[in-house]
Amino acid sequence: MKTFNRRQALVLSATAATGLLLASPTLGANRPKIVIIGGGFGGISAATVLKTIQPDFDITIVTETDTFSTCPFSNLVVAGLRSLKSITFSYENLAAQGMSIKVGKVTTIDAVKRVLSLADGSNLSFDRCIASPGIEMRFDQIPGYTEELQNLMPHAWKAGAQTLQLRDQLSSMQQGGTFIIYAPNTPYRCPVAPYERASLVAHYFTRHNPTAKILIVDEKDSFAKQALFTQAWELLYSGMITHVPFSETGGIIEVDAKNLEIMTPFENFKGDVVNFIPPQKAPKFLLQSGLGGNGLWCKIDEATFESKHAPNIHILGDAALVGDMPKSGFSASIQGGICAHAVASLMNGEPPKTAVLLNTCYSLVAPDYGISVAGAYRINDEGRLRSIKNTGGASSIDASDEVRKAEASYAYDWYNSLTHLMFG
Amino acid sequence: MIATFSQLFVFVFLILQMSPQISLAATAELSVLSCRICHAQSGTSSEIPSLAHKSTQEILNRLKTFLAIKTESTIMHRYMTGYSAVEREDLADYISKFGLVAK
Ligand SMILES: Cc1cc2nc3c(=O)[nH]c(=O)nc-3n(C[C@H](O)[C@H](O)[C@H](O)COP(=O)(O)OP(=O)(O)OC[C@H]3O[C@@H](n4cnc5c(N)ncnc54)[C@H](O)[C@@H]3O)c2cc1C
Repeated sequence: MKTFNRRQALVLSATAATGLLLASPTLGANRPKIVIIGGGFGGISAATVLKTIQPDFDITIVTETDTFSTCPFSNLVVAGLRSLKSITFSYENLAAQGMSIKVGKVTTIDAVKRVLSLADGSNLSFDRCIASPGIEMRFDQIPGYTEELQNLMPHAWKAGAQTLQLRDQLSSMQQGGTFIIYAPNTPYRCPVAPYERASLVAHYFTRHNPTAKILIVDEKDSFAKQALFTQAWELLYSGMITHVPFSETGGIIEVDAKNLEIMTPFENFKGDVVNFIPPQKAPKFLLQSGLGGNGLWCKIDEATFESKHAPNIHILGDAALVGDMPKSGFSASIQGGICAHAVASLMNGEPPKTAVLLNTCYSLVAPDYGISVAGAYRINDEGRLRSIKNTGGASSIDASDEVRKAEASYAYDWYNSLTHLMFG
Repeated sequence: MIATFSQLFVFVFLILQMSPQISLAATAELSVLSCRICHAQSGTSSEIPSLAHKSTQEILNRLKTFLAIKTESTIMHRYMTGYSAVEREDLADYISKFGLVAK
């Protein structure tokens, strides 16, 4: 006979409780209590929108760190063009707006009792929970690549210490050395960011290490905006960047982290500096709480972001499967705002509303050369957030230098606008 | 047996989740969240055009231009086909009345 594991038990009992919850709303006289997990793009955007539309709600943001460094523009830090401090924000303004900030690591969510546990032993109860905790690396996928050895080949895929480490490794790389970026298969955080990183590092090398080479060892055959990147690389960094597609290697089989080597069936690649971006998944605490089903990402109702596996838990951003939307900061922020409205509607017993959701991913190929890919999404009649037909797309391949320059300046303006909305 | 029960419960949960009915027409107060991401700071040091203090008609005319002329802008012409005529009008009206504040 099949026995329950903890995950199934949590989901099953949460599911059984749903009917009860709907039958007897638990609002009472108290203010609705919303706990938001994540102090990044999705979490903070949900928090600020919810606070604006429902100033009476009791909102707590749980975040692992007391400041947030953005991955957007962290490639400028890697390339020595910006400081880490300039992409790091504090939560002071949010606290000043009346939201509670709890610094701590969530370890489990119990959807039945509507309470989450933190590593420091404390608990937080909620009426509804919004989770946007981003990604976790899969350290058990590629032989030779482990959590302990990750710093030998920093991923720098969460902005912070590894961003600086990679920057410093690149600036002390020997003249004429080889920098390898390993890019995983989709889905992963920010599909275009490995290629933006290669571009901005090439910008750095052109000035400080002109005979250096950049190899992108890719688990895919092609990537978004590829024609635009290739055109720009030819123009700005001719011969410096080589993209090695899956079809030429057969894919990774092993790494030797100590020797900075990547092994594939056809060829081994040895670098002087290796930026190894591993495959990713939703954070463990979500999966262990049963919110990923049998998968690695969280399935949700794409109109309300409520989990498909447990009621009253909304999941968005990189950790969730959100129709056709890419895992980007822009997407996470929009989803946070829409989710805030859905949570308000559901708490008020009103039907949730829908919207057209947009996303633009800008990439800086050089500080004054920008390209973008845009998408627009709406709920279809099957409840999925699908790309709207004949809408969106990449920058024109024939665009003038002025347009490339304008897109770069829009990228900076986008960043300033969004981080201002989030952190004040 | 247990698997069947759990499937049944998930099924019931999914049914419950579908109600209340969600309307598929986009509402301006939610769609405007996307505009805010880039335009919230515009008009200050930003080169992104400002949407402040514009009439419904001014905004709507601009949106219609994006729809008609494919090359003049960097981003907006790629988005405009995503909205129905009514949604564009509602959005223009909303922005002229309330600006880009979440409401
Ligand atoms: C190099 C790079 C460049 C990028 N450039 C862009 C770009 O130009 N434009 C763009 O739109 N996107 C970009 N992205 C993607 C963007 O960073 C992510 O898509 C975005 O951060 C996702 O938002 P999120 O809310 O899901 O997660 P995050 O923004 O990562 O926020 C997660 C939050 O959850 C907290 N957290 C995690 N686990 C726990 C826990 N157990 N307990 C408590 N708190 C927890 C974290 O501390 C953090 O505060 C880039 C990514 C990379 C790697």
